[in-house]
Formats: sequence, structure tokens, C-alpha cells
Amino acid sequence: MGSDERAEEAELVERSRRGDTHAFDALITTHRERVYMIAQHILRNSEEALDVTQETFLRAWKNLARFDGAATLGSWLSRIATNASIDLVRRRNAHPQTEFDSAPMSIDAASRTTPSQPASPADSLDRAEIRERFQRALDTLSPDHRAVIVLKEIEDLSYQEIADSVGCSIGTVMSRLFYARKKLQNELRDLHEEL
Amino acid sequence: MKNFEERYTAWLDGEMDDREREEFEAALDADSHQEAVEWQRLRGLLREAVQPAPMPHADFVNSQVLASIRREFPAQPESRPVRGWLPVRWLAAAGVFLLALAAGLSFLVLPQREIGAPGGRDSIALDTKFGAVAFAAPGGKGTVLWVNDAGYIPANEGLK
Repeated sequence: MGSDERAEEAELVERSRRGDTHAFDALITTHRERVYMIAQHILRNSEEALDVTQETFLRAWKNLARFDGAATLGSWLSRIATNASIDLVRRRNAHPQTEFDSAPMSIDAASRTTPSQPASPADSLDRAEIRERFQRALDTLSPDHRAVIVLKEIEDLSYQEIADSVGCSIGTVMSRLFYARKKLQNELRDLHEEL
Repeated sequence: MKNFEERYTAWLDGEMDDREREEFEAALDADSHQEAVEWQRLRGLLREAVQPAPMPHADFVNSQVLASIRREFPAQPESRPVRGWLPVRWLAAAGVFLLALAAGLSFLVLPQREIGAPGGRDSIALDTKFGAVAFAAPGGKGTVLWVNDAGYIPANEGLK
């Protein structure tokens, strides 16, 4: 984002603070796709992602007075979206039809990653299968670990931006990345060997 | 960077300077090197495979959010209107005013004393295809002929 765009965005934020919904409408249009993608990556459900996207902007409107501009508006919205998504996953996990593994992971930091299941026959995997495998692997991560993987590997955010988004220290981000990657490697080892 | 996890992550993401990297790699075993290579490949596949579908009904999100804001914050000050609607409203008001003014002036300038019987008006059948009404000013100083349904008056129907 260039300085002109930042200045324009700051102006829209200021007008939104004064109650200008047309200005806020423009901010939604600018950031909605990214917010939706973060939510969809964490939630893995397009309808819930849409709900979280709307909730994110509604929370942002309510809390615009607290936005001090220290982080970019995009980072601030990412943080709201990430927290809203993680909250939703946790609420979902509280019900019997839980989709994610909520048990704490116990991976030795120095362990050699090993296949979680025997390698399947070396059939060639098409893109849909690969996608399915990755999605299943992501489903095995806890919400916190999935969030850092999504923000780092897919959204390509820096450690600081992830820390701002998730609300933890950079060290915690790096530690979560380490274990989340280990877990994914374990889950996908046989896929890697086939490709 | 204090512990192994943080250092390994920084190394994997290329966040170490040259000296740190050399020291870390010297202490790293062969398996960890191999895992790093595998992860780099998986990372590429992950980015390729886990691309979400485009956002459906994107504009719907805007309308839903704004509707919620108006519902939850009814006391919000009226936002700055879109340019364009205000001038239209002013033009409409000006048009109504001008029509009213014209109607008032027509009564002042053209009192309704008609040709023929006092207080009446004459309908002159110039042609079966169209009709006309004549209005005369007091003292016969002016006459207005109002012709209906005629784009023009044929030459053989000249007024006498």
C-alpha cells in the first residue's frame, strides 16, 4: 500500500469514526476478500467464513475508536477475523460434532517426523486428492496452530504481523509454527513420498 | 530467539543473519536438514492446494454489515450523502415553484373574460380534428388562442 493509499485509508477511517457509513462501506470493500480468506482458511467452511467476515467488520465499526493506527488497518482486521474464527472453532469444538483435534499435541521438538500411516501405493494423486489431503491435515491442527500456519504460509504475514493478529508474542508464534509444521509433516509424510 | 523451536523456525523461514545461520546449520543433524527440505516442498504444495474459493456475494457482505450497523446504532448521524441526489431534489422543488408562479401570473395577466357571453368562453370548431379555446384580455387589447391536438393550423383553416 502506497503512502497515498494509506492517507486515503486514514481519511476513510476518520470519517467512519464520525459515523460516515459510506466511508466504512469503502473500507469493507477494500478488506473483505482478505478477511474472508483468513476466516475460510481457519474455519474451512464458506458460510461460517461469511458470517465471521460480517462479524469482523461489525466489531471493527464498534471499536474504531480504539484503533490507534499503530498497526495497519489490514493487520487490525486480520486480528479481529482470526480471533473471531478461533472463537467459533472453539465453540464448535465444544459440541459433539467436533471437527478438530482439541487434545494438546505432544510432539518432541527433536523428534524425527514419521508417517502417521503407511504410505499408500504409489498411485499418482490428482490435484483434488492433494487438496483433500492438505485440508484433512489442516483439520488435525488446533485452532491456534492452524491460525499461525494460515497467516504465515498462505497469507505470508511476518512474525510481528502474526503476533499482532493472534495476540501473542513473536516467540509464541515461532514456537507454534514449529509444532504446526511438524504436525503437518507427520500427516503428509506419505503424500510427500508419493510425489 | 531462545529455544530450539524458535531458532529452527527462524532458520527455516530465512530469518537468520549469515553468522547465526552458519552456527545453527553446523549444529543441525542430517535428519533435520532433510526435514527442512521436505517442508519447503510441502509448503509449495500447501500454498497451491489450499487456495480458497472466491468470496461469494461480496457486495452482500457490505449491505449486511451496514444494515446491522443501522439496526444496532440507530442514533448514528446521517452519513454524508452520495453526490447527485440533493441537486435533483432542489431542481424538483424549483420546478414546482416555477409552475405555481406561472399559474398565478396567468390569472393576473390574463383575466378570464371570454369572447361571446360575459363570463363565458367560446369553443371554436375550426376542424373536427382539433379544437381551440380563445381567451380575451379586458378591453380587447389581447387574445390568446389555445389550440388543442394540432401540430399546425392548415392554411385553408386560417383564422378570421
